[in-house]
Amino acid sequence: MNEQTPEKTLPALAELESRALIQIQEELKGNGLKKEQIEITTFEAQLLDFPALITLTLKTSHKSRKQPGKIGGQHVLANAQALPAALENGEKSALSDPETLQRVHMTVLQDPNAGAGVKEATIALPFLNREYVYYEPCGTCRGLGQNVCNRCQGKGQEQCPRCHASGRETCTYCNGRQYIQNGQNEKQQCLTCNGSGKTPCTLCQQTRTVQCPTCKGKGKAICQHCKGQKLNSVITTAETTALAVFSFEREPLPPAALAAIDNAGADLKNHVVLTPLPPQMENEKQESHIRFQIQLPFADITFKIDKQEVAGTLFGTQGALYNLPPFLENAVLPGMIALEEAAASKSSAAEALKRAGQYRTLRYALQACARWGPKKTARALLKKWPLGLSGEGAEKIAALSAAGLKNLSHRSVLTCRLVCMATMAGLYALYAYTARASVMAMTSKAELQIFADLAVPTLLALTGFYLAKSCTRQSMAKNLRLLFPEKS
Amino acid sequence: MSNNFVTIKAHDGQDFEAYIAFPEKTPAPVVILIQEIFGINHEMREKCDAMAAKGYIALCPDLFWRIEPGIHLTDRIPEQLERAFTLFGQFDQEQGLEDLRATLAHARAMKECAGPVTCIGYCLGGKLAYMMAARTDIDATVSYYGVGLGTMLEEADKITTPLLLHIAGEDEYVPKNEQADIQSTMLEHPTAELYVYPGMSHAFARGEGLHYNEQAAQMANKRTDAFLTAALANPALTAKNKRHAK
Repeated sequence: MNEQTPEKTLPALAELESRALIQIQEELKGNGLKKEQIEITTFEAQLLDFPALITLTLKTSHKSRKQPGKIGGQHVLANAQALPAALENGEKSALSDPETLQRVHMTVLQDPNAGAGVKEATIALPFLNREYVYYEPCGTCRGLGQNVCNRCQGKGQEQCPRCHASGRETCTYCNGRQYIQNGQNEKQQCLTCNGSGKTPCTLCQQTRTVQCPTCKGKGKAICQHCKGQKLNSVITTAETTALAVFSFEREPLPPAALAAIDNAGADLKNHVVLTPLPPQMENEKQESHIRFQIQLPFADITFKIDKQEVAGTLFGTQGALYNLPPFLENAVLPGMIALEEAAASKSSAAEALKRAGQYRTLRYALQACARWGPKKTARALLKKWPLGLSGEGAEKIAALSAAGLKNLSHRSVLTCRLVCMATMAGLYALYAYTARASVMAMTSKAELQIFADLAVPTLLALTGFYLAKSCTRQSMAKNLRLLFPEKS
Repeated sequence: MSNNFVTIKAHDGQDFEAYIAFPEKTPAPVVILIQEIFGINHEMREKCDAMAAKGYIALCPDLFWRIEPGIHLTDRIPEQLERAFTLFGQFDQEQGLEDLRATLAHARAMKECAGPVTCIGYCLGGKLAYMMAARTDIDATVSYYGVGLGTMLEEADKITTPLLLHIAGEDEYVPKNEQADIQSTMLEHPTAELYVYPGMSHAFARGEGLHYNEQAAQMANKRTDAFLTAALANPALTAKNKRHAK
């Protein structure tokens, strides 16, 4: 738990007040206001001190697999009936053992997706995974460990493969020809088989059967499924997870603070001081609680910016500001009017943009627009000035900047487009008169020829479009550098 | 069909015997059957007779003659099985190959020989058959569950005539990694054909043997028949393969 809140101390409220002022001053820096024109008029602070808890519910899922033979395991059970109780006991024992419980709590608090502020999270607890094994009689041999021999069907004997149960084999002396040639090269009856061509079978000794080589005459063979162990193993793997639910008593807290806490979500732990409370044993239920005390600085704060009153909320140990109206838009209002003028007129665009560029935020918007276009510029503005700009305000500034830049660079933009179009048209003409015939000759299929005829101009048009866009942006950036040579 | 023993002159001038079975009609193509470690036993004689019934002149040389002529053993009797392994330990494979060369020369010189001479080897004979393919100009070769082929794969490049290999998937004498090496080499080879018989033990086609599997044996024998028929029906195949290897 200490790793979750590494010795965070509660800052003094006066320090938070000064941090808030610095934030507003930074936001307005370079936008036509001096530091002295910004001050705090009201600061009504309180330290919210309330208990909170994470409720952990352990859940165990399990899956079973069968394995031939009798194998050892972590927990050997008497039979299948013992499995449900073993699974339940596994969860209970995790919650009743202080060391295990502490490990569960540590895992939950160290999980980046769990802990204070996260409404609901499922956390894996691999150290609680268990394996149970119980044995059941092998179904193949019905628990006997051996089966009737497949080869001899239990007889223990099989037909003699040499004489095929005739009891006689081909005479090896005359090779079954019944005669041999004597010294005078005359045919003579074979003396070994007496002219029959056959002799008593030497393999089965005329018994006509031989011992089955698989079961060695026993008629039964070791069960190949359980390897003669008579039992098969059923292995159940149980995986335990914790469902962590964060909660606190909402009623005593002011509505604005509740909204800020809900809004902070998982980030809450970075805005509060958490003091862990000792764990409690809760054996009856499969539930555990991580309790802690939360200290959260909270204030209603009002700034005076020039002559304008701006009210908002200060939240947390970092002095984060919320609920502020878009005060920056009012501060740069003269510059916004100049931007509108530049967007409306080509002739006075340069002079109007120069006036707008006196404001740091608007100058940044113009430079960003020349590089990225209006959509990305609006996002960049909100990221850079998160407190004083609204989403609509940022979009408006970006759109006006884009229009003003277009008017400023309308001649060079037109030139860029014409040059790119002419280049691409020239390239297409070159292709049509030189390479097209070769491309068409590569295939006789009409569909492929039509595809090539469509693909080449499309490719050239797209290249021209992106080339023109790039040239236009470079030209805009160049014109801006001429307008604001000393300010990048 | 008729059968007998013939005498063959070895390269060193000595004589050794070979079992020979003739078909009804001659001249006919000759097939040399190469024995296992049990000598020219009933099994080999029956195989020769069966080949003769199919129209081949079948010739099975006694390769153990330098140790003791006329060996015929079976794996069904433990003492005989032990004896077979002892003989295998004493057997000189290079000398055996020389005797097979002499058998090949004898076969080609026979007036009943129609032309092409092929060979089929089993177990020990399976390896000797592979050596025949690599080191002689035999016209086609079949090897049943040859033992020790993995040590001779570098000679595969020398094989330019058709070669058929039957591999037992669970061969006790050929480890899986050796089987994999054989497969990867032979599947790339331009003249080799290879079949694996999953679950089969060594010597699954030995009719009298402990591990005989009728279904697998019949399948392998059918493939052998088809292979030999194709190899003999198309003599140009041999020449073509020789050119390919060059």
